[in-house]
Amino acid sequence: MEKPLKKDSIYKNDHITKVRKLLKGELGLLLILAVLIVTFMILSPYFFTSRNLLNITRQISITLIVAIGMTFVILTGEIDLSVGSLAALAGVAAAAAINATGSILIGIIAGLVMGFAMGAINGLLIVYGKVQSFIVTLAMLGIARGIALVWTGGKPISGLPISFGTMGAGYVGMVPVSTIIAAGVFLIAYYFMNRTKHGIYMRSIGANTEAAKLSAIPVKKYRIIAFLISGLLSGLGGILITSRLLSAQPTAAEGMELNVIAAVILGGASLSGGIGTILGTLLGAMVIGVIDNGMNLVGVSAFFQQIVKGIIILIAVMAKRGE
Amino acid sequence: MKKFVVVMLIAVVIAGLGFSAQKVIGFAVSTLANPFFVSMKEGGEAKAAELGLEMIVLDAQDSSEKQYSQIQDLITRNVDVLIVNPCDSDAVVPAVMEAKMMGIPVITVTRPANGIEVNQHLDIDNKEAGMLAAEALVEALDGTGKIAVLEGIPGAPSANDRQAGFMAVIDQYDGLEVVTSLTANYSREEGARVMEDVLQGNPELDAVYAHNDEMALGAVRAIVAAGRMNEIKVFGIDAVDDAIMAIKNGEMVATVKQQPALQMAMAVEAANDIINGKTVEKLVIVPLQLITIEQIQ
Repeated sequence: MEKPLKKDSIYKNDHITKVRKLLKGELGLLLILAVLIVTFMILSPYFFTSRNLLNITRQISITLIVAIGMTFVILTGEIDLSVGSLAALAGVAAAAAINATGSILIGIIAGLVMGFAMGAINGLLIVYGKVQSFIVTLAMLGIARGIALVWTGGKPISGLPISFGTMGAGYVGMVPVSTIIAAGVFLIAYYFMNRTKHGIYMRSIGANTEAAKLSAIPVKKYRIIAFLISGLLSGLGGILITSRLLSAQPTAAEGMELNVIAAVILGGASLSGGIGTILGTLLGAMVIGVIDNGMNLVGVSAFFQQIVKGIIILIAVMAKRGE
Repeated sequence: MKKFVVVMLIAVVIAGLGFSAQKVIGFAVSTLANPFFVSMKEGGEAKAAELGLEMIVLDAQDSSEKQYSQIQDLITRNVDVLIVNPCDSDAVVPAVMEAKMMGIPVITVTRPANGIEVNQHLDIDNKEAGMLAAEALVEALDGTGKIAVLEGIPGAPSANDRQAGFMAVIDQYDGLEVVTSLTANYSREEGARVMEDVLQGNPELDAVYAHNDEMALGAVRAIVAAGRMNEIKVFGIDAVDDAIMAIKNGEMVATVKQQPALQMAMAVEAANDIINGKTVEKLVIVPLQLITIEQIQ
């Protein structure tokens, strides 16, 4: 009897295979991203400069951070429509805390706690109240936004210390600080999702909730955790927006949920749950960021941009399915 | 499939292009959903074409975060002059600071960038606009009546001033009473919604003063739907086309002409001057004109 040749074995684990496995699902999206980049390179000499590329990473950093939170939620088969409102509310909380205490650290903590707390309310209502996540987070979208408006009387909170602006608008050398923050969140989320049992559990819950329950996976706990993560990261997003503008606007991040969900779906996640990756979300956010930035540089007329963006996203999703 | 994607992408993006090799003005506008700013854009584009300048217009859809990204992109694009119509006078400051740091001259129109010096700021005297509207109202109501006010975006300097100018006149008349003052965020849709509630809560009402025409037009729709058009007189500011039409139809009494197209044309001229090395005035106040049925006929 011959021994099976090592190189044909399914157990081979060399680098090329690793990379191929990594990109397998994302290859189509990577290709689309490459096509977009090349297209804009041709159309504008300003596109492929280090300054602009780093700018793009800064511009998508907030959407990416919130989209990573959304990925966990969508993976468990749910949806979180409240992310924009939570971001705004967290930004308001952070600004109010900074103005009240003079401490940026307390402000950041206040914003994160606000996002986390609202996420907890979402999770508890959905899991123990047994109300559909669409409904709960839709209601929260209104409630959180309303709280932000009542709190501020509809007016933005300004007069924040310039040092607070470093998070959203500052640089470390050539690299924007918010890019570094987003990269950090990405790495932590990637590790959590792919290298711990938690990620696998959450994916199973989305793929087949009954089977997950029968496998003794604590389904309720993980469903709530997904919304905690989403709330927390929405809060972080809101803090970064406030930092970038040095102003907490109660109307901030209106409609952000759509952009965020688009990034996650573009990244290959399925709205019914069970399918989706952090890397996919990153690529999805990059595609959207490149489109926005590219069109601005080329000078596509304001009215046209909306149409073009919608069409490109449709084509990208169709092309990806076709791969 | 891949080829198809490439061809489609390039075709779609090229379709939106406007080629020009000349100097470039970047115009970051707050929102093109408001016809006032559309007039502004058109006035600017006409003047730019006349002077041989290219103008890129980016619409922030009333979002300060979007405007921040858009101004960044205009900076990357190396525009020769940046003209900004801020969504929020405070939130725009970091972006304007970046533009100045990169050596790009900045002109602000209609709303200022608070606390930071720019090459030129064009504005109307919003207090005067409020005053003109108030004077028209006083005349129409003969000095007595109940008034509802629809306010613009809370905290916006234009809204604050239009209110201040208005109240400065109204306060002089004991017979005039402001029964309610609510914000409709300069939007027609919100103006209609808020007006419905105001009508419910105020069986007696003689006039509505809205900080801009969009809200006034929304209010008109609500008043017409409630069948109270003959009781209530409506006043706005901006003189957009729909408002002129409304005055002709007897649905509105007066509006104040801000001349947005002229404002932007002046801004583009100033930009041209800056490009040619001339200095420009720091502040330009564009003249106003009260528009009633008399001016239209």
